[in-house]
Amino acid sequence: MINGHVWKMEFRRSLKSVVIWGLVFGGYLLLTVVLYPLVKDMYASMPEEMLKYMEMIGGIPENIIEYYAAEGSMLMQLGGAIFVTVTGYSLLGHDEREKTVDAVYSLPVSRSTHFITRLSVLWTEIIIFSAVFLVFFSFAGIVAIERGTNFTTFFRFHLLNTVLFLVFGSIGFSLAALLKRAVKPGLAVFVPLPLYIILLVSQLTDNKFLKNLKYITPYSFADPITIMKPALAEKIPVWTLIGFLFLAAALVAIGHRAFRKKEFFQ
Amino acid sequence: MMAISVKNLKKYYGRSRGVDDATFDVAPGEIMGFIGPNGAGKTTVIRVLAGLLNKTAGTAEVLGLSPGHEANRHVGYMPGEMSFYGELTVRDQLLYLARVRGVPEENVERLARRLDLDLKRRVRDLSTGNRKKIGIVVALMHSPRVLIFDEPTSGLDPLIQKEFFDLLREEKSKGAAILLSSHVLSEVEKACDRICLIRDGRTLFTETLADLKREKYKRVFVTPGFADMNLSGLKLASKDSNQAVYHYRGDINPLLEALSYYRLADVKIEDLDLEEIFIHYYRKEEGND
Repeated sequence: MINGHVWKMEFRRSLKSVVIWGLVFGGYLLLTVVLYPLVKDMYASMPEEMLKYMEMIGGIPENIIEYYAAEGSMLMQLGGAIFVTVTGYSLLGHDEREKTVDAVYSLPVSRSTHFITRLSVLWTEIIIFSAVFLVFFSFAGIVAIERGTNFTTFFRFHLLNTVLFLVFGSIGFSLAALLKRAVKPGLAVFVPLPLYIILLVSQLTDNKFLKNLKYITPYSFADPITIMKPALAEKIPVWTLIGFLFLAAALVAIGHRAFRKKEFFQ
Repeated sequence: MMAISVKNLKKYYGRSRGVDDATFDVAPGEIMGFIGPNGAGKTTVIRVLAGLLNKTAGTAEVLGLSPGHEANRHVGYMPGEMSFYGELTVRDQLLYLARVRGVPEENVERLARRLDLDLKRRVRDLSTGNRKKIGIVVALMHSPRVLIFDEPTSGLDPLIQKEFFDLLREEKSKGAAILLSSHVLSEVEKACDRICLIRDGRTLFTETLADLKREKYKRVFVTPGFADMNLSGLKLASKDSNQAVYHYRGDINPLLEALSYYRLADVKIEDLDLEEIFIHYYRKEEGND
């Protein structure tokens, strides 16, 4: 099912961007966390309008974990989701773009093996990106700034965030299998971005209908503020999580079926 | 069993035609020249055989197998436009493909030496000709039973072209069936046992070179330029005020008899060489068929 040679080659070819973007996002999180002592003082002198806005997205952070949820992880989550979707799309679609399909798909390796091998490379890279870079850098930063921090919600968030990235990566990957002709991988950004905008709209409104839109976006089950603010912890939408896991699995299954019969044009 | 078998193959891209009705086969130990004008459908047939396109109807088999990864174990395929992973060295690229096929490194090195291919250079820095050499190594490294080449020699210098045809002959002597698509008719004439000519997505004929030469294609120059000569196998090719030129396929005696009915100032009859025969078939216009 998994071809070791193909796995190594695909991993080797795409690892560089994982490391680069892992360092970028990991570095961003580290920088955000080490600035906490300074920002804590700024919260005390925050204008009324800003306080209102902060209330909408969970209120003033009471500790470094809540600060991490509000200031670091939201942007990382959007950037990371875009990165993994584009990576997922590229991992299956790069041969069409680079015009290497003739060399690769005339090998005695079944389409199914190609698909499964590359999907396993994607999942491995997402776990490396999330666990090694994002968790390690932010964890190291928090430990350096405030010893004795309770990391329970931090790890819960990163676990769900990794699931979120796996969902987006798998959707991007399946798109490459389902599209008849190769498109630029940057277009994969149109999967995570609109869903993030829906989350923002649902958070910044008092309208009940718009608020409920959060259930149709996967960001809601890995929302850093909901997870890392203990008072809101029970609001994690489990059905949204299950729904998107099912959707990703269905897209992967449909993509696998389509890829086995996919035609490669010149 | 035929190594390659194509029968009434049809491939449409939506409404547009790739191949309409291609039929030919290639036996083990045979080199089949696959020729036809641009857009005739040669590459479409080849990509169906390589498992990259799905057929619309008909049969396409390699060693009795449908095109795909199982058949690809026995197929060496070199496309017309060959791209590889640019950031890799030639060695890394070739060894990767060799490992996937389970081919020993020595095979790659031996072929690279014969084709004078520098293994240390990065793929992205190579000229078109050197990329073609990689393609040849990839196609031949596993000594396949079936070889499919799409325009293999364009961009290769004459020495490497010679080496390539030497390699083909070696594979042929080992029993490989070879399908060679080319626009270089002289090399087709030199290397191939049979010719399959395809035009507008349809196979026009599949014949041995010997049979093709035996067909007695003639060019007939007639002065003055009578344009109304009527005989089966005789077709007007060109005409000016003084002279008409006909192409004729068939026995010479009916031609001589037909000519005898005209009051001619001069007549000249000459054989068409193979290249001219091919070009005659390449032409699409009515009346040249």
